Amino acid sequence: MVDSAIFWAIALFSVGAALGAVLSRSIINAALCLIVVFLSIAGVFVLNNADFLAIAQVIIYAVGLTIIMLFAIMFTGDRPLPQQRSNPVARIASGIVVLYIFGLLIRAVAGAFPANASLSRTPEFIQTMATQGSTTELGKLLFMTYAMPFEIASILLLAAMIGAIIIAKKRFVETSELETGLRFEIDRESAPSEEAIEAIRASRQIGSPTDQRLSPQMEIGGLEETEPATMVGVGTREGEQ
Amino acid sequence: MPDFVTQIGLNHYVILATLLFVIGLGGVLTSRNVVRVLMAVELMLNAVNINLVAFNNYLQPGDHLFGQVFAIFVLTVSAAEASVGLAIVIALYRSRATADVEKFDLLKY
Repeated sequence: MVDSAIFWAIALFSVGAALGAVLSRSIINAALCLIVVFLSIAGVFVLNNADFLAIAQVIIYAVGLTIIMLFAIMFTGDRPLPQQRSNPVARIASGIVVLYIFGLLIRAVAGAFPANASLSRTPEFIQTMATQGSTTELGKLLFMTYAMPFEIASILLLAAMIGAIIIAKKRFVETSELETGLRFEIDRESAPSEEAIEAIRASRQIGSPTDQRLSPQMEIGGLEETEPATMVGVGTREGEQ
Repeated sequence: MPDFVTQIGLNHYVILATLLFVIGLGGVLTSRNVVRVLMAVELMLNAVNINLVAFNNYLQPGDHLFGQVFAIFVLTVSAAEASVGLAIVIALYRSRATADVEKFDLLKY
């Protein structure tokens, strides 16, 4: 009885917060809703005898990932886009796809399992789970049966970390921010389009492209080969934060 | 009270996971902010994790926790995916100055 009440509370919270994360207008609110979803899913793990996973879920998703998401939101600006949703045709089409897949999945799983499926555990194991938790068993599995995938996962994480640093690193930074308050970057291969520069300028509310203080700096930006030492220094500092 | 309210079984968890997965899919398909697309992908991965853990608890013969190990690997891969994805978002924002996925059409033409 208590179990079922907890389950229904968790289910309501997670589905409601998931809808909020997908539908809310402000992206910050979406990230906060996502925290609620992750915490609710940690509750589902607890109900399923997965206490280690529940704690990992809270640490990795509800705290770590959401913080990184918030960082990305801060980097890319949290203003709502002028047109929040895609165009009507795309919305209807994706709605049809979503409903079709939902029907398909529900049809596949509904009634596929006995309604009163009992746990497939021996009473001793359930007792162990209740008193000691699943961490010991999981550790044995991870370091014995699944030792090889475990090591490969570590390589994957290392590769992802190096890749993320290299992708997000600034290649060349042109700063005139001390003078104008504007900082815009010139990528070595592809300089930002006029449109992009205009957007940055508009978001910072500063002068026109022909601003006197700006134009000499832009000329320097054209001579990429010289690459003065100060600029490189700024670039690395900004890139490694 | 009816049985399906008081007796929580495997079906409940699977249907909850289905709901979350479909909500995440809708988010991926309809949102225009690239960070929200990544959030929706994380939602879908979490729904899969619910399935793995519930199946492990209800259907795994013997006293084993293989399903939870798979859930841990899903966690690992999704962490790697999120870090690389957000790095790409930041790199894209540098060149386009927007977070709108429909403006990211550099490879389209």
